[in-house]
Amino acid sequence: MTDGDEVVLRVPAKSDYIALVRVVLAAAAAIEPDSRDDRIDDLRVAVSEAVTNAVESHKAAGTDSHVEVRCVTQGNQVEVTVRDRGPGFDPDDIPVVPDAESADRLLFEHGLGIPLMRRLVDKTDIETGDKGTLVRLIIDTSLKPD
Amino acid sequence: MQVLRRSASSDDVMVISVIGDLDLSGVPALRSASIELAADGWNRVVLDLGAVEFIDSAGIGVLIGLRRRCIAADGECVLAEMTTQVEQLLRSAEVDQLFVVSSTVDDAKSLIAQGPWAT
Repeated sequence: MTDGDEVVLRVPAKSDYIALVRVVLAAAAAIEPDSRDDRIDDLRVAVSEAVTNAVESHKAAGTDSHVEVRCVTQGNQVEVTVRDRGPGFDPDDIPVVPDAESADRLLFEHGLGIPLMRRLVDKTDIETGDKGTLVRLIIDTSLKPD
Repeated sequence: MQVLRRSASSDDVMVISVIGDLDLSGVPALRSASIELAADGWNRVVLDLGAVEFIDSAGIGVLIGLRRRCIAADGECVLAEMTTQVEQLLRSAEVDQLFVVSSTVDDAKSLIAQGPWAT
């Protein structure tokens, strides 16, 4: 989205700032009176996942660059982008987590973040390369989730 | 985030209360507590999540690790007093079946006392 109300945050790549991003973006996304609380909750989690990945990516790269978060709203249409300057990753190399019924499932503490983002918002795009990663989350906050 | 160890009552169940956000900033405290419990020989744990204001996949990861440690020591971990957000996220992440859940801490303690993990 290019038009609409825009909120931009530039935060240190530290875990202590993730809650701040959640609070600000959830408030920005909930401006419309008919926005659904459950959709705002979904967005809060998806944003948390994206910013967490960005913070961990910067930590892995040893960079102290800031993480950039942008939220554009047009009515109930909300687009959030999270940009980091980490080393990127191979989207096809994400570990496949076994089903909950599998005896091995308790061995996997990681690998839920990206699948969760994809489940919780309407559209998730990830552009990644050796100069960083851009995650785009799109959600209609007035629509009942599937 | 705060992690409070309560108890060690006569039924040998440790109750852990988590207060605050279970995200990347909060999980180190619970992970440390989880590892300390295992080192101290506690294998029957009730995790009181009634004061968890937010959880994401980082928090789910540490819950999985806690239950794994308890089971590895022939014990069990029961999640109690889950808030709506915690309950919904476990479902969204399709991990709700991984956990034994109880509505109250007392019920969770009874569940453990009656289960095959009872001493």
